[in-house]
Amino acid sequence: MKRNYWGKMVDDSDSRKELEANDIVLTMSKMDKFQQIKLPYTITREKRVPLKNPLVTQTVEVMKQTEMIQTLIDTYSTKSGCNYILNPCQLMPTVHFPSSNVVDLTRMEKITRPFWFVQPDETPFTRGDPKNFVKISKPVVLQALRKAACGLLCMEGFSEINESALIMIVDGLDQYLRLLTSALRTAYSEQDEEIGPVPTLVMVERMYQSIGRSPLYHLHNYYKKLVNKNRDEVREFKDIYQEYDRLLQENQLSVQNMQKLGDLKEEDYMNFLDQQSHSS
Amino acid sequence: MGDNFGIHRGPGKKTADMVEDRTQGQILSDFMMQLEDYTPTIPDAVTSYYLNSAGFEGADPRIVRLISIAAQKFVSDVANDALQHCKTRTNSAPSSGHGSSKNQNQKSSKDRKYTLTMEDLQPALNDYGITVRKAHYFV
Repeated sequence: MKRNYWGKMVDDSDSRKELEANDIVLTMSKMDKFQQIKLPYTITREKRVPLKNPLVTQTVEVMKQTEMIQTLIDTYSTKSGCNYILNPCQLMPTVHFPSSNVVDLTRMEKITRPFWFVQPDETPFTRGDPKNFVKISKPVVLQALRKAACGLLCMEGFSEINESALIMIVDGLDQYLRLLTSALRTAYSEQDEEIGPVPTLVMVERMYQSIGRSPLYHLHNYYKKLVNKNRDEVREFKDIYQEYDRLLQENQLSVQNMQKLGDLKEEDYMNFLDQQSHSS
Repeated sequence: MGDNFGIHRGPGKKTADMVEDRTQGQILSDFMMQLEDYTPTIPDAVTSYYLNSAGFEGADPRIVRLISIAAQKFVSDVANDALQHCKTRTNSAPSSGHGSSKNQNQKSSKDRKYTLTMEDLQPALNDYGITVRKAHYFV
């Protein structure tokens, strides 16, 4: 007689394995290779989650390039009151940065003006027209948060991170987002009128006040801080690149001079010796 | 009959608050329009996920981006605090070697690479209300 256990699932779903996450975030270079493998689902453009912030990406890239050039300068020159090349015979390497590192931060017509003087354009975004976003699962969310956290940590000045610290900061960010949405729910329930499921700006302001104890326009100050940091880093990179370029030209000139000295002919050397014997 | 009895008491507190609110509102309004050109590091789809989990529709892209930037600011603030803790800890550590000069210290602090560890992250998160407790032992 077959035993029937108390609490057993009727359709034997407890005997199957747990569902595993089959949504993964891929880079563009790997997507082509991945699509060659037969999958039970297809990755289309609509299902991709773009992970890009040109402001952060460019700032981090510029910081790395500045550090690289500074290392080259420290290796090949010395500073004792004025810069001079350590070894005039050694040729300094030229530095080339790929054009793919250049990032288009804003639309072209806004670059020439300070961003707080930009005329407002009416677009679907500025009107607040509804937009559908890609539906993603929790593992994909956590992976996206991990990449976002790493980029922001690089921008703040960290070069490495422990695995445990990364897990902790991602969990902290996940918790903070849940806290924001629950505060938004509280602000929504305190509304007297029936406004529907779309949150309004007033609700977001109340949410942020309850969580951060600061007004929402502080986010605008944060955005300005990011832009100013980017501009400072680019300015520092340009200064240090000019210094390296100057040292490079000086080095190339000194190497050329050394090569010219090495091209002495035999008769010139003999004439030199003759002059010395006559003078003595 | 006037309510101030002819005495000019300057602009009322309500008027000053209204002017300040209008300025903050104007700043926020301009910022909302500029958000179109700024893609937050946290994707809109991720923020929309959290909004959907709370029962909201993440339909207005401006609201979604505002929340994304708020979360991004949180990470930046925590990272900044952790970096300050890291720098304080490394600067207060005794420097090895013979007689370090000021130039050497400046050069070493500029070239130093900072690693984010739990030791620096824990006090930074505590300041933001996230208490982290490490297990005393691992089994």
